[in-house]
Amino acid sequence: MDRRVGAALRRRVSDARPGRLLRRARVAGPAALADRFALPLLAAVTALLLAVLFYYPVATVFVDAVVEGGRVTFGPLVEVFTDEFYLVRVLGFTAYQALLSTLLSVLLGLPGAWVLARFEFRGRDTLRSVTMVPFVVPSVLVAAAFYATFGANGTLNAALSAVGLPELDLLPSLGAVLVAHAFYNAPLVTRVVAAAWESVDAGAVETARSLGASRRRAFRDVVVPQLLPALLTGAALTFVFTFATFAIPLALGGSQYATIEVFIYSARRQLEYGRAASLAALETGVSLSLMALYLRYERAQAAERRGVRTLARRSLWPDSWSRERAARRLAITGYAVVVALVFVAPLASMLYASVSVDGRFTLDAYRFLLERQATGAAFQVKPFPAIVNSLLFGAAALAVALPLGVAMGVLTTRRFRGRWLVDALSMAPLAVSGIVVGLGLLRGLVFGFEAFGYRFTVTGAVAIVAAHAVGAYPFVVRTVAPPLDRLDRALVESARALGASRARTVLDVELPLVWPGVVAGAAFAFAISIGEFDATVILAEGGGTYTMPVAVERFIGRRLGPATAMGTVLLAVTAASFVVIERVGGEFRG
Amino acid sequence: MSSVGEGSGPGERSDPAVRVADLRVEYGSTTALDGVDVTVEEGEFFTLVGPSGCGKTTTLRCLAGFEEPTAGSIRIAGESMAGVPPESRGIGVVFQSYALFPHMSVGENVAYGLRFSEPPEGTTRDERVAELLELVDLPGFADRDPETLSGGQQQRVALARALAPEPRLLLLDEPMSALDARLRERLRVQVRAIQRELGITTVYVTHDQEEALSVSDRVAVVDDGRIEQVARPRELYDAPATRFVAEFLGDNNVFAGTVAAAGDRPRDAAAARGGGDPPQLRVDGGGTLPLPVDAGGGVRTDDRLVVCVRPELLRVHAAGGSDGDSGDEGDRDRVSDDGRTDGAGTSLAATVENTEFLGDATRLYCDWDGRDVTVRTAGDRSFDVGDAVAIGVDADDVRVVERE
Repeated sequence: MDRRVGAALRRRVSDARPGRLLRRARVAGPAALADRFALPLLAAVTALLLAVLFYYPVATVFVDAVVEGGRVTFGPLVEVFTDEFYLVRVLGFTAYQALLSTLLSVLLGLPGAWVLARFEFRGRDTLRSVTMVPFVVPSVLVAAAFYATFGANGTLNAALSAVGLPELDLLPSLGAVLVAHAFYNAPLVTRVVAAAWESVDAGAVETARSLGASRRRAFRDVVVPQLLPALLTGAALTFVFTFATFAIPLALGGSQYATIEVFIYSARRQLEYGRAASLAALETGVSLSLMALYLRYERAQAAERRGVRTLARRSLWPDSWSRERAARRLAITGYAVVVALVFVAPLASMLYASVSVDGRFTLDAYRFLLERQATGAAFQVKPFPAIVNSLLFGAAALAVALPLGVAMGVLTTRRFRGRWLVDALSMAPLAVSGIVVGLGLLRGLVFGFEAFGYRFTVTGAVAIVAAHAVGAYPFVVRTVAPPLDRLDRALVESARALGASRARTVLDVELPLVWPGVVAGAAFAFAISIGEFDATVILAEGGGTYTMPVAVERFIGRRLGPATAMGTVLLAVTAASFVVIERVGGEFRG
Repeated sequence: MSSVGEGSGPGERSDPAVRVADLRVEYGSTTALDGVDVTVEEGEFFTLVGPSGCGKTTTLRCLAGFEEPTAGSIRIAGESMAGVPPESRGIGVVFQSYALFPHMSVGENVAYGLRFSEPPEGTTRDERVAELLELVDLPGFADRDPETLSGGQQQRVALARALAPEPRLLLLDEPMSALDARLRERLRVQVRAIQRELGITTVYVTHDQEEALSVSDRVAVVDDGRIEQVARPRELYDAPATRFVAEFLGDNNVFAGTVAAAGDRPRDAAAARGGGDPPQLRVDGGGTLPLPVDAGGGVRTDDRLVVCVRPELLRVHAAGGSDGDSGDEGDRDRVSDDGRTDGAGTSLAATVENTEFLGDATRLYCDWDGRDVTVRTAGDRSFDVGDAVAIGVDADDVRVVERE
């Protein structure tokens, strides 16, 4: 350090040399030194924050699985691993429903990719952006929407009875769980496959044709091999997500179709932390392995292609009709109907249910939300505090997740050895379910830990904010890192050569240029926090810190009106976030 | 590496502007720079030229501090640059991609470096910006958005920005490569004029050998992580030190062969007349080339040599009669005109394989018993593919570039 100060001083002496045409004065001193260490400091703070908010709590879950009353015991773990009930009924069923959900999502998503990539029509771009919506729609909202549609008093039964048909009993059912999962993940499949399809070089297809391949053959030999990796990506992510599903089976599956997360949750409610931790360890192990496999595969595929001429899109309404063309359009129409049923009908039913009782228009449900609900027992979930809590937690989580995500984004776009490890560690929260994070925060921070002779505890509210921040910041990283990565290295180097320190360059050049990504990341983070259910419900149990999604879940099946009204409010907030993400022009590498 | 100002103190008159010694850069097992030594004098326009991937840009990036050398030392004005970050080196850098900050106006771009250093005494920041924009011939552009400027204008803004904080060293990394040919020529004249006016030491990196020869005080030819030759442009062109330099700079005809005693070809009139025993090169694959007498010093019979002859120094005639006959008329004239009567001439019997009309000259690609010979002729005589020609070679035009 001394050496550098010395060098700076000497330089000034040499600059003052008489007769020198070119001279340069430098600002040196403590400020400049602090500046130089700003990035390492940032890295350290980020690491510390992640350790406290994420790694330590999750580690306590694993410790809980093997330590009971201060003694190492493999009892709960052995119990879980040897019990046929846990292995077959719980783990087996969880994997089984994830597999079925994946199949259904691919089935529902693939035609969408074909339509988006190969046809030109009005609103194509909008439709394309709408496929991003599921990223920000709270799972509880989907559950409420499905209840409003397929529940005993839902719009489907109302419609059936209106035309004199017998009512159906569709909830709870595995089918409802699977369709709700497809609601989430089919758009993901559509998105990644469409992106791959659009990056197919038309020249490659034309070359194959010129070499004698038929249209069908060229598709098989040139296009399909380029779509398969994307399809596998979509399917793998869907499997990982649906394996760790919680709110949807909890609300739509009932006890028959409970997944491993639902069992963890009920163990926690029964205060059986050892069992909850064992199950959580098991689940996290499976999830992390799947995610690691996926990341390895993704790295192998990571060749970026640029400047290709994409395949020309056909008009959805052709100039002339042939039998084949007509058949294709008919198929697309059929697909559109299915899409409307799966995606639009539930949301529309929810909106309808929130403003009607027995077919009559009323705003009672919304009025209920605004009342502080003076009556009712203390343990009951009250609507107004839920709204206030949600907004407060959202703002607080944003305040943590945004700097954390931006810092992480800056750090992960540096080239240094072991970056892959930083990447992996920073993205781990995506692979660890909210239930597990919630459990860890509860055991690790809310119940407290001892250090330096003191017992540290945090309140449930702080823990919820921590959980939301942990869940949200990877989305900030993923919106900020790609534009940062794409920034011309010469911009940064020019600033450095002109005298800006590394940290100063981040503030002066890099952040202003990726600002849309930062704003989009903030919208993402807020939406994720507002919609977070899994960790919140674990941490809010029995306290007054419930949020809108928790309230929706509690109301589902009991008070359809308030459930759908609050669902509508949630929908409005997430839709607003989506509009911000879309308008500000952030992009998401998901 | 803790050798700041060690030995000779910084600022001494004897220090060159830049001294790079035994610079090595390795990425894992690949070697990007394999012991580069370069000295640039104060006020000099020094160019690093070479094919892509040769290490010229890596050298520049080490000078700028963007890259950490594996070994070796860099001194700017006598100070060791080990551990000195780019912002403290007093450099100005211009990149191929211009790298103008798109969120700042032209004026803000130029003023950016002045946030970290004072403008020259007696001027304000704004005056300095105006002065620089004037210098690069873009007066009144301060409020413009960089993206509305043409490529050439953007590059001039980048130059103004680099010069504003008065760097002691200007580093130009392929600054013209993204521009079209005509603009490139205009801009390089302008850059050179500004460099002369300011007297700023400049290191210029380019893959374009014509650019290197036209603007530089001295040029270093870089290949495969090593410096092949450092010399003034004319010397580099006329007397390449290695085969690589001979082939890289301009068109050239390069031949390898074995030195033969004179008299192997008694029919050669000039050799006979010159008395003595002018050395000759028996070219691999057959035929001989004359060697200049002054090359004879160290040349002994049976030595292996690589020689070159510039295409514009060859003369071509329609083949008539026997080898080295009528066409040699011109040879003799020129030899006597130049007063270089001690040199010998040879005529090569070749066939035209392809012709290229270049406007002010014609390039002929000829086949000389299986070897390619390129001739550049300014004459109005046109040749067709398949024509048999005699190519006149003057001994004084043959350069020995390597001895094996």
